[in-house]
Amino acid sequence: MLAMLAMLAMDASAETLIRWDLERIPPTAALGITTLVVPAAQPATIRAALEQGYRVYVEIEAASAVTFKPIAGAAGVIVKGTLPAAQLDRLAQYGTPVRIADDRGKWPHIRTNWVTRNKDVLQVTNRSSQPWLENNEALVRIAMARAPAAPPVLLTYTWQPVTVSDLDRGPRLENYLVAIAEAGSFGADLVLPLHQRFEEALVNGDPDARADWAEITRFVAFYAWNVPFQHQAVANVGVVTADPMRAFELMNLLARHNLPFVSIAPSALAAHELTGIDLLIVLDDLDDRGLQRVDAFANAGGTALVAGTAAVKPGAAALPWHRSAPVKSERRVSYTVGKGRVVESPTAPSDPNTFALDMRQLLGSGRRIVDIWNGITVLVAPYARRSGDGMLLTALNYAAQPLPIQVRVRGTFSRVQYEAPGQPAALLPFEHRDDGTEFVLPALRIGARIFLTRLP
Amino acid sequence: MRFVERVAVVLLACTCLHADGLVLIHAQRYAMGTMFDIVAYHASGQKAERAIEVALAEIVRLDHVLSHFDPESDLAKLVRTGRTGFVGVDPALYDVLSQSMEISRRSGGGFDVTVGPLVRLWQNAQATGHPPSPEAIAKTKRCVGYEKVQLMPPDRVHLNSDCVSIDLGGIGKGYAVERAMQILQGAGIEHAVVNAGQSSIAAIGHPPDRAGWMVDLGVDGTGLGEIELRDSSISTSRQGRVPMASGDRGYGDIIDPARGRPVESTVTVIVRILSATQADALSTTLLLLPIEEGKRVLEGFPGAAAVWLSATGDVISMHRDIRAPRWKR
Repeated sequence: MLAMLAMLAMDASAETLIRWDLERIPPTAALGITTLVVPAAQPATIRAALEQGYRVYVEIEAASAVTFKPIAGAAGVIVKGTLPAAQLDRLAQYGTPVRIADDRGKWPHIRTNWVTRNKDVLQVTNRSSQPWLENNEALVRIAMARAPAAPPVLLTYTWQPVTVSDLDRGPRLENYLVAIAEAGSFGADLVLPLHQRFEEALVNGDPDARADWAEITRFVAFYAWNVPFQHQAVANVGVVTADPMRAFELMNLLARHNLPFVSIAPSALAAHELTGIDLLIVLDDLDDRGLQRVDAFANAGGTALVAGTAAVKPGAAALPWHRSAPVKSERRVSYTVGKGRVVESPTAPSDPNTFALDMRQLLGSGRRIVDIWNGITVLVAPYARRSGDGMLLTALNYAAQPLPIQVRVRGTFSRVQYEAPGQPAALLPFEHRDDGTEFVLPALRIGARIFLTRLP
Repeated sequence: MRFVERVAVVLLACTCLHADGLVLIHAQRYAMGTMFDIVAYHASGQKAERAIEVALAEIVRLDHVLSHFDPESDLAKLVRTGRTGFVGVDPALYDVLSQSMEISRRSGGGFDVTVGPLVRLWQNAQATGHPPSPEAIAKTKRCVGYEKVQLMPPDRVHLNSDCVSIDLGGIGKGYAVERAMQILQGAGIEHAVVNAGQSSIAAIGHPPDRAGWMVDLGVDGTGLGEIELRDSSISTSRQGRVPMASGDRGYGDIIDPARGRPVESTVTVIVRILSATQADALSTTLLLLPIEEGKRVLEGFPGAAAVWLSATGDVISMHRDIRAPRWKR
């Protein structure tokens, strides 16, 4: 089964870089790290960091790249935002490594139930709602698909207070840990900004801050992907769209419902092997070759949903799969094609959450890579071992409190090993049921990874 | 008219210390499948923080007591052991069951915490895409009925059926909100609001410069858009529906115990009453009953008000004025 999943990128890895603003910096031995990211607007901090022996990446805004000149001794430049190719070339000419940080993400958290208006706090009443996770998985997956051979996506974001109390005190320990765990879970690098108060407390040697820092560095180390074997992120849902960011909310909700996806440009579909894709979601118009590819995909056993494109609007010309008899339901027309089927929906998806739940149903339990129960604040990401005989699953609980999570992974494995930061590895009991492996994560607090191995 | 898009935004601008010396404290905790927010104004930020922490801890504890997902919860243990005779349970579980039975009696069985077997039957139908047969529904209904739950004060329960089960999804969050509010009041907090995933909200006192806590009912243009909630609770229920693989509409998760089928209504019901527990249970109950019958049930709950809204946000009917009285400061 592992060979039958779409590989998204090169071998999984992740690195958390700490961003520091204060001019005073604890020694490298005290922090236990050797690399810092310092904004270019803080030259004194850059000097202080370099003098103390830190490896320093200078962070600049994309808008200031045109006038930026490299700083002697800096290890590289991190540019926040989108940079035109010409500007990138100009920076590269200096011989300094340049990385682009995607700043469109959000500090991961669970949204509050509040709304604010004119500084008034407003409660909203509604039917019981599933917690809304602000997360960056879709952003990472879209970036991975755009440049599969590139280094990991580099995320950065600013602190967004969740509760009113957070305004005063900045991120709590669990906010930092969830951020580190999220980037690591999805195979992204992260520039993690420390709050000024936390930096001050570290400089002053505050015991609580030092304890928090020890936990942060433990997470940074855990998520550095120093794991046996090489793994690659996998997906079995393909989303065909010319502009992934236009369809971002749909993909965000696919990720939210633990449907690992890869975005595919319409122009690339005809030549795409679609290896490992079980469900193909077509959101943009295709040329004839693309339509033939959808037909062939279904014929080979896949399920394709063509939603809201001109080809499936009333009055459009016949499509390759129309040789089969249509089966009509309330909202769709379905065609059995060979071993699979093509489903047409004349309207584009309107509610991303309903759409994602719909896609889970369309995929069916037998073809979902992972299912979880009692974990609506949990996102999982599957990785295949390059050797093909194992799988790695990352699990991240945005609620940051221990939850027993029931997991079902597609495929039968003979060993399930669980690791979490600061905890010894443990073998978990498991059961095989309906071509899946089921087990319980005993108390997932924030993050963990699960190695699933097929023994000979 | 349409439902307001409910987007909770992060607070970016807020003065935590108000002119009258009250400090605003806000904390949240995940429990019972949703996020609980507690907000309080108090002269002592530390005192309020401590009280909120105790209240949130109690909510998490109640989750472990009342959960039907957790096989180690007190409720799960009751279902396993309570069919052979009376067993002692956590006082909170007894209290919730006691209040559930009371509302079941007053609603003629409209509200029924033993509806769990039917819920699972229809969840299975959702997964398989095939509705259950009339025979399967009839067979499952034999396991349903609040009268099968027998209570013996102060804390003993007997499930008088070999297949009865209990699901407190229609009342548990309201109970947790009410308990949290009691803890806050016990700690001397006079101005606070507890919000459980938007469906259950309770408030005491008021924020500075307001007569009550503003609550958006999610309806534009009816004049009901926002109310001021003070020393009262509000709960909202609406049938949810997940489409099935076939593309057909799926089945909702609120089941009518009398018919053994999901409620077909697209109505939203909002209930305001002093008790958060009652608000939670009544908002579910009113979805199951014809409006006039629902109003008769509400007559048995002093101070209860409710509004029935269409899928497009139009007011279909109202029992008393859902808007809180205009409080004078």
